[in-house]
Order: sequence, then C-alpha cells, then structure tokens
Amino acid sequence: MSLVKLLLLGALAAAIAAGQSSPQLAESGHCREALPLLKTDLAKATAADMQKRLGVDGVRCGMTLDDMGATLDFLRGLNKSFPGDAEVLYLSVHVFSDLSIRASHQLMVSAPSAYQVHELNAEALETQGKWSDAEGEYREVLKRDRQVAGIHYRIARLLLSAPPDATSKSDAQADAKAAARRELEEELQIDPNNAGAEYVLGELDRQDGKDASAIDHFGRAAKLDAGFADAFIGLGRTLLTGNRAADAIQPLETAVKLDPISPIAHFSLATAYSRTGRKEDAAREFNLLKQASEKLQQTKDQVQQGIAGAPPH
Amino acid sequence: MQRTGIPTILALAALAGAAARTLGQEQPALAEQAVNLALAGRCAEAIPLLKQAFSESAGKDAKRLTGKFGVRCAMLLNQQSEATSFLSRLQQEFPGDSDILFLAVHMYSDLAFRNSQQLMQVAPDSKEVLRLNAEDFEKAGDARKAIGEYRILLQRDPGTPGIHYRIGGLILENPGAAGTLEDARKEFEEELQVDPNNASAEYYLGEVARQEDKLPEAIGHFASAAKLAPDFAEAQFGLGRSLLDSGKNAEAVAPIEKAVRLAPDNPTIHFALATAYQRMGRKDDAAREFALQKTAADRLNANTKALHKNIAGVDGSRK
Repeated sequence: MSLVKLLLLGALAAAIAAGQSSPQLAESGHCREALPLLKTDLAKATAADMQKRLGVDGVRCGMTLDDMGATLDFLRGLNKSFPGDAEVLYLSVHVFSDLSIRASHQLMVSAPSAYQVHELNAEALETQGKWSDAEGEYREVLKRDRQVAGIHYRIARLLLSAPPDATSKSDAQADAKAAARRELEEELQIDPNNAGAEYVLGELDRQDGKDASAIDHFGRAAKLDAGFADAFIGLGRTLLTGNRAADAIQPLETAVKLDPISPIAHFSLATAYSRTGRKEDAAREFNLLKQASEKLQQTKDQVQQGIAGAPPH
Repeated sequence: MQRTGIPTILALAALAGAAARTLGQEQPALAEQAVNLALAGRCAEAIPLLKQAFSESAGKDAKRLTGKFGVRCAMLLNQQSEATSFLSRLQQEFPGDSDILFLAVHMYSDLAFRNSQQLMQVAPDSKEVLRLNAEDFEKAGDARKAIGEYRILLQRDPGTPGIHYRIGGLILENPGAAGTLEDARKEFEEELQVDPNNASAEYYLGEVARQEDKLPEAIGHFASAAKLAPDFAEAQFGLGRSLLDSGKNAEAVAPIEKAVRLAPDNPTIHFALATAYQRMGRKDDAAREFALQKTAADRLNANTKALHKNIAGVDGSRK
C-alpha cells in the first residue's frame, strides 16, 4: 500500500474517530476525505432525507475537487431518486452550467487557436446581438478550415438577422438576402444534407414569390429532417398560396403533430380544410388555433413577468 | 439540441465508413448498424448498440464517432443520464480534444437550460425559481433587481442559507448603487446567524475589516474562514497577508505557504510569501518565491493576452 493511501486512510480513521459523519466532513470543507465516505454511506442510506443530503454533498465535493466522474455519478443518482425535485433541478442547472464554463475554459487554454474557440466566440457575440463581430469570428473558423459544416449557414442566418441600415433599408435588405443566399448555397456544397439551409432558402424564395422553388427547398428540408415542423409548415403554406390546398393538407397535418402549439400551423391547416370543403375539420382546427394563441400569449406574459422581476427595494 | 447540430451529425456520417475500416470483422457491422440507426432518427434502438460499439471499438475514430452519436441520440431523447455518460467516456478517451470540449460546452449548456425549464414548469413558485431569477439578474449586471428577488425569497423563507451572503456580495460589487459597506457587513453577519459554517461570509467580513484597516478583526474572520474551509486559498492568503501587515511575520508564513500550495498559479500569493521569508531573513526561500512569482505573473500575462486575442479576434481589427 502506498504512503499516500496510508496517510489518507489515517486521516479517514481520525475523522471517523473524531465522530464526524461524511456529510459533516463534506460540509466543513474536507472534501478529499469526505468523498469516498459519501459514496459508501449513500449506498447504505435508506432514509430519503439522508440520501438527498449525501447526494448533494457528493455533487458539491465532486465539483470542488474537479472530479467530474464523481460529480456526475452523484447527480445521476439524485435525479433518479428525486425526479422533478426543485432542489435537485436547481443543483443540476448549476452543475451543468459550471461544467459548460469549465469545458470552454479548458478549450481556450488547451487549444487557443482551434477553430472551435472562434466558433464559441462567434456564438457568444451572436447572443449579444453583435452581428458583425460574430460574422468575423465565423469567417475566422472558415479561414482555419473551409470545410467546417454549419458555418456558412450561421453566417447566412446572421446576415438575415442583422438590422438593416436605416438610410437604405430596402437596398440593404436585398443585399443581405442575396449574400445570405450565396452563403446557404455554399453550405449545401459542403453539406448537402443541411435541412436548415434548405429551409431558409425555401423561406427566401417564398418571400420573393418563387413558389415552385420554395416548394422544392421546403420539400427537401422536410425529407432530410422528418422532425422539422417549420419545414412542413413552409411547404404547406406555399402549396396553399399556389391554390394546392389538397396537397397542403398532409404536410400541415404533420406540422401540427410535430408542433401542436403553433398557431400558424393550425391556421394554415384550418384554411386547407376549409378550401377543400372539410368544414368540421376546419372548425376544429380554428378552435385549436384559438387555444394555441391563448397559450402562447400566456407564456409570453409569464416570460415578461419573469424578466421584469420583483420591484427593487 | 439545436437544429444546426444536424450538419455535424451528417458530417460524422462521412466518418462512418472510415471508422468501419479500422475495426475487425464483427465490430464494423455493429458500429455501422448503430450509426445508421441514429442517422435514421431511430435513437431508442441506436443507443444500446452505440454503447456496445463504443466499448468494443479498438480504433479512436470509431470511438469518437459512436460516442458523439451517443450524445446526440441521448439528447434527442432527453436521456440526460445517458448523455452525460457518453460524454464522460469521450472526455476520458480524448482528454483536451478541442472537438470533444466544444461538444461538452454545448451539451452541458443545453442540459442547464433544460433543467431550468423543467424547474420553471414543475415548481414555478418555488424559492429555487426565485433564486435562478435573481442569479440571472446578477449575470445581467442588474444588482438592484437581483437583490429584490433575494428579498422576496427571504420573506418567504428567512432561514434559507446563502441568501444574505449573496446580497452582501452584490453590495460589495456595486458600492453605492446597492448599499454601503456597512450594509454589506450586516448581510454577512445575518448570514452567519442563519449558517454559522459559511466560510465565504467569514472571508468577506475579513475583507471588509481589512479594507477598513481593522487588522485584528480581519485576522479573526479570515482564521474562522480558513478553519471552516481549510482548502479555501483566499482565506488562507487573507489571514497570512493580514498577519504580515500586522508585523507578525513568523505567524504569517504557515497560512501563506498553504495558500501557495492551494493556488500555485497566483503571483500575488508568491509575492506575499517571498516578503514574509525576506522579513524573517530566509533569503534563499525568498529568492525562490520571487522567481516563482515572476514565472506565475508571466504565465498569467501570456494567458490573459491569449484570451484577449481570442475574444477580440485574431486580426484585432474588430472592436
């Protein structure tokens, strides 16, 4: 037995002799000594309160010691024993958020010039609404590896999201659309199976009144990703616009199955039913549309309330 | 997972053939079968095969491929335990790999979001939701709103540990706007009423006292913090530095030595230890610590520059 193991065992024996339980050890900052004891105590614990305390202490000690394996083992155990428990969910939010941050730091330190670092930067800038900086970072990714899938698609999305220049709004929008289209086509050169790129090309064509081309793109997007509700909605809506209500029904029925709270999917399906003479089906869908709209509004109100928060004291 | 993850999966599919070629007779069939099922969206069937293929594969490419598909499938099915298990094994197999680290950043971030959503759904009126809201306000830099949420939480459950401590911390970080130093001190003291074992509250009381040049008081709080959490490097350092400032050089050495062991990359701690050694006439030890301080400072500067460079973009042309 190594000296380190002997010393560790000595410390454990001393702690137990001093009458300290594993949670007491953990909660007093002695994580190194506590962690092995927490594992064995958890295996023997029968009372729910004690199981939770040991699990929470195990997660905290695992994080303190940067022992990811132990942390995740304890967290899995907690989620299994206490599904839907607010305290466990709260702990999970923090552990996962912390692990994400630790992974990003490790990436920056271990591979600071990797294209993934630029991709992370770009994503962070994107969430801050810094469109042009984000685009620059995505271009850095492509400078390092032209074949990285998804980057041209992200750039196209940025071009379409960026607010247009106030002085030449319509020209800027047209330029952005043309540039985005080029990026999406480049994306499909790299990755012909990018359903998102097909979908956005479909949307651009639909907005420009190029229905036949839009139908092709939406159709391909839906075929590439059978769970892509928006692609089915796009396909159905465009078929409706082209007076092909009967053809629109099937994709729209798929869309409402995939996204039952989408008001636009219910509205389009109700319209398709109505135009094909299926009055009862149309009435049912209009009713579902009303419910979906109310639910959406309710969610928006809740989010708004959450953002506003409590009044400052 | 985000829809933009689809290209990644399909790009991975291109690796499937290469991975299969690296395996033996039976394994490629297994890996290919698992990957093909995942690609066809049949994740429930794919996961057990992906697990088996990951364990049995000898080649790195096949492990990477099946592991990443495992993460993807588990996330699609919201099997969080499986997802973390696949990722842990990938991280063990490919330590420091930028591709796997990038996946980890996204997967963990996504899991944090999913758990917060679930918390909002199952317990919208819980104190945990109030706490998450407050933390979001903290992240957004809105200290007043964060404190407002924490106060509501305390109205509901005055005995919740950690909340007075957070309010005190917010006041210290936002002097004037959120309260005075005295307000912060009161919050930390109230925290210790609720939770006498909060080492961080003791530490901050020590910091407040040190800033006010009340060194004996600071020493008392730092010592309590270090006793409550022996591996708390800042507390050990605070104690050592306050002892040093009080002229108690010999007593300062032990806590600063411990702080150096706990945080060897911190140049300030090496500097303090070098000073303590110097004052005690331990010239060789002081010289060694000054050298370590320089090395640590150089490394810190290099890392900071690298981070700035990455954040600003490589050509530095964008602000």
